[in-house]
Amino acid sequence: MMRALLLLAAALPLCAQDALVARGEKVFQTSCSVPYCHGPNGTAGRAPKLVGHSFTARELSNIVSDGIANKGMPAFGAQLPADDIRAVVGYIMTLRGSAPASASQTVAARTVPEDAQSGKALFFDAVRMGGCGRCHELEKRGSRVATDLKTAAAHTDLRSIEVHHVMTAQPAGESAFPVLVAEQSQKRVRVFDLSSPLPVLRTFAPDAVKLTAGSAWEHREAVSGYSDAELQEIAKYLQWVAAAK
Amino acid sequence: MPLVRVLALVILSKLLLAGDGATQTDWPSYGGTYAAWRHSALKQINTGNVKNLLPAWAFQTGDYENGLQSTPIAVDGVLYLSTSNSWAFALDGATGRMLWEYHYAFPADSPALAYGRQNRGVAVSHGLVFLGTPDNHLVALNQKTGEEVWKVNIEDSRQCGCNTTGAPLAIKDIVVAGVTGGDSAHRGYLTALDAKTGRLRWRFYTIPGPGEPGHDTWKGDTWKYGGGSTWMTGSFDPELNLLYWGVGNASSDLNGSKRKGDNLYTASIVALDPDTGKIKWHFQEVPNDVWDFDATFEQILVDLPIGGRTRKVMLHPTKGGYIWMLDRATGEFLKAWPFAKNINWVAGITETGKLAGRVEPEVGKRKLICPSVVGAKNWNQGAYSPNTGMLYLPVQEMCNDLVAREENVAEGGPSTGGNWFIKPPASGKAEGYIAAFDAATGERRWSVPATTWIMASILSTDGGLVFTGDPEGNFFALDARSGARLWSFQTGGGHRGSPISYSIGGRQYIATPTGWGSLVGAAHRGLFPDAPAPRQGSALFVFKLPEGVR
Ligand code: HEC
Repeated sequence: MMRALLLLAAALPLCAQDALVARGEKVFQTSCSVPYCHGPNGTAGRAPKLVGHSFTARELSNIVSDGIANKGMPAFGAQLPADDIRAVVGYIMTLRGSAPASASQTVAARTVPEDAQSGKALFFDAVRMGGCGRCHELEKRGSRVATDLKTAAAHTDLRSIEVHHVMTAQPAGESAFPVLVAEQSQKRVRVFDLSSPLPVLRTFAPDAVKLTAGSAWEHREAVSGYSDAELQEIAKYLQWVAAAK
Repeated sequence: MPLVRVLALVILSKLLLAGDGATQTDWPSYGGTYAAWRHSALKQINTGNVKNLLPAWAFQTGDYENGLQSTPIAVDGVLYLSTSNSWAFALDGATGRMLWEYHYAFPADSPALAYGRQNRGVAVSHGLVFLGTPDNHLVALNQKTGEEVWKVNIEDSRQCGCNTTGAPLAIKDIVVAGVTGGDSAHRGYLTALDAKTGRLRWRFYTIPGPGEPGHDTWKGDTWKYGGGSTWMTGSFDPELNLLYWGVGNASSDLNGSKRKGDNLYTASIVALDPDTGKIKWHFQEVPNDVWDFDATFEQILVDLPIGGRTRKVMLHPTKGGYIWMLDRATGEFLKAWPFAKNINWVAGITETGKLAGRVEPEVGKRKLICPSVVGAKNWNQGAYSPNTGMLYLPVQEMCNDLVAREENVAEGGPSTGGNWFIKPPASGKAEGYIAAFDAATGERRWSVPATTWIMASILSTDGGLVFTGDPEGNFFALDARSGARLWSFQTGGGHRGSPISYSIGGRQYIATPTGWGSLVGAAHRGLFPDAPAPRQGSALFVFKLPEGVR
């Protein structure tokens, strides 16, 4: 870490180098960490954290100057004086870590083929309160409430899916509701209440709730917000996920 | 009418009068009461004896991420406190003894969170403590034991780039939670859950969908990604049965070219029916926002003499440096007045509440805009005193250069449409101060400069006092009428939280979080290069008068 910094500032005496980093820190605080981008001292805001990064000074300098197209990282080349860019790069180099964490080293996500894209968008439909993602997690999105669909068999009819694990919970003083059991120990019972569009993970003392096998709950309730055509699109996405696993 | 009933009515009307917006022995809700005055009716500690105020106890939370930004809730002598990683504590209000603690368990593969880990407080009702989490869950804890009772994933934060940092609001039999996400490609919303079971009661999308009124204020698909977050806490008028919430900026923040139109309901106040989540009225302060000027800060509900009659109004201080006064029954615009000196994004606000002379960012060009994205005031809350009729606000004078940018955004990804370069105003010096305004006329009564700026909330009391803290670690009391500094205590950490007052067994306490942090707080060293860096930390300091002092 020091070596890279020294390389960058090779021509500068040591105190000038401190001054460079101090100036860089100031530039960072007024341009990079605010508003909310790289976070206080590079610990991450809504943009990636820079603490522990493994960029070289040259890579950083290019990124700061040219930005990253369509990723929200602006090009500062035309907006900050060259000295400020040099200073901020010098400062960010002090945040470098030994662990490899560079963006170039993260595994590229598999690209979803075109005919599965609309299905994916519908599966997670953010503007309709989450869609299937309210209950199923796929490709690191959604909630882990119900079955992991990665390993699920191929289904063509997403409405009449056979339900095996849904039970009925009857807490004292409440009416019964359909649940998926998340934990059942001597200490506590945890169930996902499926009667709410956003499933609720409820925690009970073991004797405060009665669980019985089976339920009248049907998968068609969960997918009622989708048209048949939309479900067909979603099925294409699921087929691609199953094939790609 | 039988005498008992007459008496009952007299008592009831008294209660209604007293139930104005001041807190009594408890501090039951985020803004004190649902009216968000942050004013306590307690007056044991007053202008005459505050100089004797001493620490009673302190509590270290151990969670030093992003400072302590919370408002503690006080109910029946117990304080409920939350921290940035969504740890919650119940503390004996008289001694500081910990009754229970809860540490939210993040999933093992918890993603980097778009808006950082921070938390501004809990809500308490129905024997439950409600807590939002940085990965966008709402959790209900048993008020007596701290054990988890229910938990709901509001939306996967990996998908929306949003999370819950604000304090939830518990009203009637529901709990209402907002989300961040206004600078991401995201459609903002407010979610109401049944307090007891956590089941969804309603969701209100801050951007109308196809077929809903206001949808045509967006072009093409931009409504799906238009921001409109709800990251701070709303207010509630039980008599009108209206829930008020401030809606954040439109996104892409600095570039409105793709979303030409007013972009409802971003940068607006919405009034909802709390039983259905249906909108009753709205008032948009900043149509087609291109400055990141959220309308999410406190909505202070007061009854004020306006034009010869008492009106139910809402006072709403905003990032843009104006206080908006609305009729809170109807949403009618009454007036707006500037509370900061450096304002150039508009030339003014017309008598009908419209923006005049907009100065907008341009693609590829640096353009000076005041106030800055941090706002003439940030989320840290002001207070209203019914005794002085004054509104007390933390104000900062600073600007930024804005540069807009063309960008294509991906769902849930960053969508700022440009960037910000924060800088001092023309005077060359960034300034912060506490200012007092006549709440009815907007006239500035006094202002007290800070060494740097004030990023903590303000507490006002019937003792004629105004309390707040500074980044240098001083927690201090001012005379509410004159601004004279009457007392100060060094807590050892910068102040970014919200002080409260409560009483136990006839003894008044003042409690303040301390410990610097937050994303905006990170700008301190850049803005005030000659000032020492504020000390981080995360502790609650509680003060009372020594035995025998009156
Ligand atoms: C409210 C929660 C919920 C929602 C929303 C939901 N599901 Fe399900 N899903 C379940 C439950 C519960 C099961 C069955 C678990 C069991 O009993 O085996 C299930 C099962 C499935 C299965 C069968 C898995 C297997 O092992 O064969 C598929 C496929 C599936 N869901 C797809 C979808 C799709 C696609 C959507 C959106 C259109 C969706 N689900 C929405 C709860 C939900």
